Amino acid sequence: MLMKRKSKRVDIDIKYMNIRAMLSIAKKELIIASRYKLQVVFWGVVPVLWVLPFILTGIAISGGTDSEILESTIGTGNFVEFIIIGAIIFSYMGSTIWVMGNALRWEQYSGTLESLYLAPVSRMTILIGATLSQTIIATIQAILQFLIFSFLFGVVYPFHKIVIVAFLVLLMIIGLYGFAFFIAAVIIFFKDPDVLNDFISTFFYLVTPVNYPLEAIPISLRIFGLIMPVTYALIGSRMILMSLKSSFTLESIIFALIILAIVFWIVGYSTFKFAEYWTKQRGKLSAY
Amino acid sequence: MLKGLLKRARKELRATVAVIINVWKLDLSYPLSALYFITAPFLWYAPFILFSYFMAGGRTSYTFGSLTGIPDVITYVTLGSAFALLTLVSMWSTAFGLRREQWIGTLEVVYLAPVSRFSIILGHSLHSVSHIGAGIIIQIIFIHLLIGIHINYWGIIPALIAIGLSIVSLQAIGLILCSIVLTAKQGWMAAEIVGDILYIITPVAYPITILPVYLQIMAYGNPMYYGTEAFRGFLIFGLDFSIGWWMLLVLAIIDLIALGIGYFIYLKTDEYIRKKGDLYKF
Repeated sequence: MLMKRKSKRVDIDIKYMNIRAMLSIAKKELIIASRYKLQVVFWGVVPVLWVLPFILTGIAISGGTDSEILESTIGTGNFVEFIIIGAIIFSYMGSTIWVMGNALRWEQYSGTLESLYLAPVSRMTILIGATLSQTIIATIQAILQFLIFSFLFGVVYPFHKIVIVAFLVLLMIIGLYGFAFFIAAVIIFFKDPDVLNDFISTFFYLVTPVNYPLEAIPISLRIFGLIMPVTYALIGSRMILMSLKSSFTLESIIFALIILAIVFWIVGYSTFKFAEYWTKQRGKLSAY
Repeated sequence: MLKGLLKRARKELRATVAVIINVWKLDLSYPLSALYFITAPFLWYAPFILFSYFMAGGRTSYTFGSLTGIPDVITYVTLGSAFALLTLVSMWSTAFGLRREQWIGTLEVVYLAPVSRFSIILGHSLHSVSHIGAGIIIQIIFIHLLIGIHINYWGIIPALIAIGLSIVSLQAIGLILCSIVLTAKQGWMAAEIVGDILYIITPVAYPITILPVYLQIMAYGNPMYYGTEAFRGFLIFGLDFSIGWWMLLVLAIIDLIALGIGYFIYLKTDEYIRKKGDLYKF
């Protein structure tokens, strides 16, 4: 009885230790980011410059900021609002993949990877901690982008609707964490994070409805888009903020986001654990 | 005198070729990365093609045609994007040529070599041009077969001249950016912003006439404006694209001025860093 109680307490202590470690990593990353304030602002502003060519191309093709084709597809022709929502929400996906994919590599560059591996906490906490801090930074950058877009294009969304969108984005981020575990695991095997990160974010930028509706994506590519939480978050957010018609209901979108989050966490967690075991067995941590 | 100059030029050329071979060897040590960066440019501009195709409701848009003289949106965007990527990558490589040497721990050795730093930077840029260029050629063949872009073969030579002249002027901008990267902490931000602004004021996927007036004025001083228009015009209309020759002439003049300014700024920066003994901080 006493032994049982003791082991239960040890379990709670370990969980508590993992949470503390995760928060410490997140705090550490936020402190580093606060030393490079300009960089935080920079990545908030630069994505606006990436979006402008799409808006300008749309204007050149449609002759204005309204597109008849977009209207016949989704019920509104305002492609500027459509693209802005896409850019802001997709920025979460880009930063989650980028940070989780590189988190261990950056620890290695700073010479702290081995020490962290020796710490009596789960390696997942390192990844979650790093990504948690990035989610906070990404939110600050999303607000900054939104303010710039509002200033440039006069786009305003009602606050109560933004709250619902924030809930969808939160579900998306939870799912993306699971997906990013999977990416981190693949990087442990293949070692070159830049190529994989670039490929994944570019590929999913192409196959998810960031700049165009889902219907514009060829069916062979759309399948890949449909397994990503960002697709449902984009559709749901536009449904709410732009009152768009869609073949999905809000309930089905929330359901899809929850299911994808569960699946990605199971797959991501198992793959990462396996990659970690594989690396340790072969003593390849330094080669990583 | 001339003999001495030729001898020096030969030596510099050998150094440049050595850098190109060296970086290619490094690339080929990561075959997956090398392969990816040959095919990646297509992935980078595929969203633009898909977006344009959707917005136009097909390949052609008469509104777009009335603005650009080319109703085929896909051809316009594909050729514009291929050109812009190739030239911008060469600018990036120039800006980060020396930084890359630092990353691989060879900066000090390179600085001690009895050759001009310009030859080393040029080596990095030409490596990128050959790397991305290989990708662009593969993609244009792929797009030609898949999307059916019709290229006027008579226009290939002047289009290549447009690429060459644009790369020279972007080398100049790259040299100025290299000076910023050398001296400023987080100088890469300047390179990123300049690259993004150049992209916006270049007629990659839209004519510059739709830009606000102040951006149009900036666009007329942008070498990529002339390069993109000439490259695309020659490949679509062939030798009949008479305005293209004037654009090449303007580009050549910009090259002369910009290269002089860029090289001067770079030399001054190099001198400044050596005087301050700041190389290790870079």
